[in-house]
Amino acid sequence: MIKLVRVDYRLLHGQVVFAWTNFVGADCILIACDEVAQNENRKSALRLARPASCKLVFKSVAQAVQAINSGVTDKYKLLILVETIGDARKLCEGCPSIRTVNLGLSKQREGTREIGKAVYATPQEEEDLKALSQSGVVLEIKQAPNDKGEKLGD
Amino acid sequence: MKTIILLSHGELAKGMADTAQMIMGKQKNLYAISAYTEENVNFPAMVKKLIQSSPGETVLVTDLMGGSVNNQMIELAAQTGAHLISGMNLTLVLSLLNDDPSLSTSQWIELALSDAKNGIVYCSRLSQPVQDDDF
Repeated sequence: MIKLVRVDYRLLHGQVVFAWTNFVGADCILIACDEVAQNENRKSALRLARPASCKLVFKSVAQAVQAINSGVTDKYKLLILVETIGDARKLCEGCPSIRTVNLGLSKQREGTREIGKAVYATPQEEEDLKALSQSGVVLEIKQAPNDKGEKLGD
Repeated sequence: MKTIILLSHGELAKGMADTAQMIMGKQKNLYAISAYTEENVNFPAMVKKLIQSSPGETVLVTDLMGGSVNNQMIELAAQTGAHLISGMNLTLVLSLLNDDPSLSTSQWIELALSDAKNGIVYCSRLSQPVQDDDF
């Protein structure tokens, strides 16, 4: 079962490894990212961060959607990491069973606006979030599991 | 809930606590004492007080095996039943912050120590694993 879907441009790093993985009791981490899936250097770096108790699987977003819908991931307590808000939208549109998305870290770039703590969105990304919200996905801004957290309205 | 007290010569303990909380969020049971700085002249007394007012067991984590901070804690730990670990690193502290009430305190500490030691890796020398995990 999917325990957490998190948008985090750093993907697998300290906070995710130590705080979130333990909090949700994950035994498998899925990094759903087109670029990473075929970039050995990025995969090597990310593999170093893998917590001992977890499998670490790399897939493109499309392959991730396919895997989830096929049921092969059901037996895991799965933590899914996506790099961007756009990827989160693609994932959720492909897998309507995902009802919550954690935000996460979204990088500040040219043209972005701060919409929450550590979450910066371009106009397109704000559209993506709106679309997710309208389809009933709950968007929660939270860095560490024991932070107060803030639900993003539309 | 276990009380965790980080102790070091100078500011390492405070820095460690700061970094750990950046990753894990604010932790109510985490204390840091930077010994031999202006304010902490009698740090053993401070530690004793914290141990006595702790709601659960206490784990003391010092910077250096054989260092005076650790040496001064040995007797206090023996007297109070607090658990003493030397050689703090961030991995150790993070592992300790993930409590596991299903384990005895010593078992839980042993696991944290194992994580801590396994986290010290000569990354440049790692060879590529042959196969990625799949579902």
